[in-house]
Amino acid sequence: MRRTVAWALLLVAFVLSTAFVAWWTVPVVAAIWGAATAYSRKPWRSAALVAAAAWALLLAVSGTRGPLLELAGLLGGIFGLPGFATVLLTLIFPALLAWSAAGLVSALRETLGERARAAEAA
Amino acid sequence: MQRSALTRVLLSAAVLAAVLHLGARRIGPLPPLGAFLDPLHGVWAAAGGAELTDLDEVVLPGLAAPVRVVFDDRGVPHIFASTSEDAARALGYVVARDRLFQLEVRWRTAAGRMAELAGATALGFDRYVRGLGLAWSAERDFAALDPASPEAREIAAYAEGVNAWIDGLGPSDIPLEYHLLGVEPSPWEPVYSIYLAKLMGWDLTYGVTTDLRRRRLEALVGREAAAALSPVNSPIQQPIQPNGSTGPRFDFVPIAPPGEPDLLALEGLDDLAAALGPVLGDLLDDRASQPGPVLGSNNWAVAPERTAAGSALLAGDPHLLLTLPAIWYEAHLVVPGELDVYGVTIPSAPFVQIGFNRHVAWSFTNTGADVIDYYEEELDDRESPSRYLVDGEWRPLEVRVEQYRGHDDNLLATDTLYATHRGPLIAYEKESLAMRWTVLEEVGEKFGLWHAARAESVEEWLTAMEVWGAPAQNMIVADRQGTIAIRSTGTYPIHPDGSGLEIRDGRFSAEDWVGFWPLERYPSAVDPQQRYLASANQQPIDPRVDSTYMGADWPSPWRAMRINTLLSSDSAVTPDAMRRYQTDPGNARADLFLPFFLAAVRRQAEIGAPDESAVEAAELLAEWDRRYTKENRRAVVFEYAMRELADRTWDELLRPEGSRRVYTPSSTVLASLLHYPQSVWWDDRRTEDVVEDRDAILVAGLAAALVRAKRELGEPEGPAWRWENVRHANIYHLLELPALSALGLPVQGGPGNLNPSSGGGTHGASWRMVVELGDEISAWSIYPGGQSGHPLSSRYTDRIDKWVAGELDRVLFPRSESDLDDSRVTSLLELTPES
Repeated sequence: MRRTVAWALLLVAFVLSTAFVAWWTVPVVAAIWGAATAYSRKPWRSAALVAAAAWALLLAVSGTRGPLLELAGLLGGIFGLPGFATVLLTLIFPALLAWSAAGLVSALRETLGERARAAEAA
Repeated sequence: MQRSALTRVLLSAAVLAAVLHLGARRIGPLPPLGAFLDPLHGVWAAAGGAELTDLDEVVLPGLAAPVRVVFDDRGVPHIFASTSEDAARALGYVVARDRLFQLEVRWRTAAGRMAELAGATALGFDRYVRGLGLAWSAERDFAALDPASPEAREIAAYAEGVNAWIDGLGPSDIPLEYHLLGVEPSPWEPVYSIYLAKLMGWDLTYGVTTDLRRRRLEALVGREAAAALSPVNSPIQQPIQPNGSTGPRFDFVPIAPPGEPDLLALEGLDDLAAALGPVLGDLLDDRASQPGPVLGSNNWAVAPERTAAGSALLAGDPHLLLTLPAIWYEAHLVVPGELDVYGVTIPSAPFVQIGFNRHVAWSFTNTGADVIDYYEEELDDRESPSRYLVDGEWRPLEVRVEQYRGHDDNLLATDTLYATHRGPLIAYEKESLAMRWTVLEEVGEKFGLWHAARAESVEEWLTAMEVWGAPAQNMIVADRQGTIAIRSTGTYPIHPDGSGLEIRDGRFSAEDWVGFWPLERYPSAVDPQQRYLASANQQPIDPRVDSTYMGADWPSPWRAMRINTLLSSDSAVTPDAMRRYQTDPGNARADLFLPFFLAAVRRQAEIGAPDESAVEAAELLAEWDRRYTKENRRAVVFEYAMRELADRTWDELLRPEGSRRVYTPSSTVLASLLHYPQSVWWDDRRTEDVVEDRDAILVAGLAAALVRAKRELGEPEGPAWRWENVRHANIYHLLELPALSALGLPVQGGPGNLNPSSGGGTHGASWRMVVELGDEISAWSIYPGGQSGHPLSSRYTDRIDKWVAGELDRVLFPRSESDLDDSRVTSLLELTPES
């Protein structure tokens, strides 16, 4: 239950920061998530998943304002890709940002923690 | 555990750095992906804003009173305002709403600032345009404009309207193209409306000049032959100003034999071409060695005596580069008691260019007069000049330093540009060539259209348009009183020696233009005896009437001949007939050439050993009705034969290395040559030991055409021979992205038709209009595209099918908002002043 709530909060954070600030807040939010979540819980996975979900949600909001699928097809035509590829790319992009940022911070924390523990033990 | 975490640090850091880089920086032509893919602010937001909403209420600063804009079901805004300025402001607002990216492209094209949009790939283009000085001259004209004049105030109001839309842009209002390029819309300056006149001048007059190409022709075949191949006067005369003859007059004369090539001069011209750069240098070569674009505008008017309804009729049919969105934006501006004008504006300026009001209708074709001259200047220093010599005295050069910037405001290059009193130095290192061009002088459009929109008769309209300078246009006008008129209006230079064909010696002021044609001498006609008038870019005036030099190498008059034939044979013209004429499949060029092909094959057969392919081709062509309908299966072999004919006849005009012709004479010159069957020009020098005459070339051309047609298209009865599978219109998006373009559209018409189609099919009828000037004005129109520049809008390409079919829409021309049938209204925009 706590995990679900945490993920929901993460989703809200991704949505709000993207909507009201910009795309580059995705790695910032993910980094915080990575710092706040135990390394053993592999926070990069949840960050990537939730970031993609957040952008999917925002994409759906855009879809209420116009023909999103037609636009996807058009963009696919412009870039020489199938229409779904542009949608996929839009979801992979924040996922990669979140995965890498959360992973980086989490792993750094873990590495530094290990060193601190080792020093303490010595 | 520690090793695994360390690996993850490194991997994550690398991925994060890479993705952040992709998100924030351009990679090749791709925009920064972060902002681009942002689901709310990025490209996806462009899904919104495609369609008009039922009702919009907007506060528009600067308005004197509320303005109501009613969009009809064709997407045309009917703007009801209480002042002209408010109407212009509202027009700026709605044009920006529908065509913001087009506005951006238009001003940047004229300014030579495309690299800021498209990156370094556009640098060469920018350098070329700035070298011409279009924006520089527009800015000078704008500075000279009285800001208190009504025209200037409308231009300012239009700019305010555009900027009001830009200031209020939400994410879904930003056109798709900005996302694709990763740039932001830039504000609109009033001077950009003046850029329009320069840009149109560039489109319509630049490259028309034959001075430079003629120079290479002379070097190759000598002056006498060059003069015959590129004649000052068209060998077929059916001028715009009627000459009293009901049909065309054929002034065919023998063509002087080719002289010996002057190899030294040709080499010098290669140096000049290199100095002029890739674009200008092309003017020295024959761009028509491959079938090129045809700018084949038409307009005509019929007096009441020859119409079914007894009211004057007028048709307008300007042909231009076809783009998506289209060059035109259709609009109706109403200011009670002052203005009630309908027609097409060009996104850039608040004036209806072609259209009608409650009293008169008008349209244009390009005059194509020679309004450019080149001067060889003597400079004090070729590498870094500061002065040029005139009449033994050194004069200072005007110097401009131009900086070219890229996407992110990075400096791409800096040029020092020079100008003499004649105009820009377009080359100076090896040869120093200055260009004098009316478009760059203070003779541009002086807002005649502003006054013309308010004219109540042909006379008033013609008076209003007297101030028109460039580009020179054949202006046709008709009124409800039944008067029809045409005048080739523009600034036509008078040369000291009466000819504009030479590159002039800039060291002498006596070489300068000595004035401009007075208005009284402009080719013109009012209510001619024949009771109709037509122009199709042909030579405006019969040289037997006035032989003053106006230009040379005029476009072939095939279209003029055809429309004159149609109009002279119909004494009860209807609006629907006018519509049909605009895509008429008949072709005067085929009427003239085809009998020569058939007769040549017949004569060859009579003297024995006929070529089998030529005989088969002749049999196929004998079945042809000489019409370029979509389903026709014979036009293709005729066109191939015409191509072969030119290739085989003009072998003397190939560059010495034999790869490319330096010049292709007009098909009227070829028509002239047909009447001299033993001319030395018929001999194909590439065939050794054989001296060909006319018939041999015609037969060989026909045979080769059939072989080629079968090789490329299969058997004659197959579908590939259908004209609609051969000729297509291709309407490219402004960024030339195929996904946003309309390509491969079948067309009715080929070279020489009233709806001409040739080359890449990128040029064509940009606007077709028919107006009946009865008690009430009735009008019909179409253009290829739609009112919206939004590729997802239902109004982006909604007119193309009808355009392809040659159909027109009946336009709505309400006197007031209440005159508009509710069922035809799709959207209402209420603009209110700031409180």
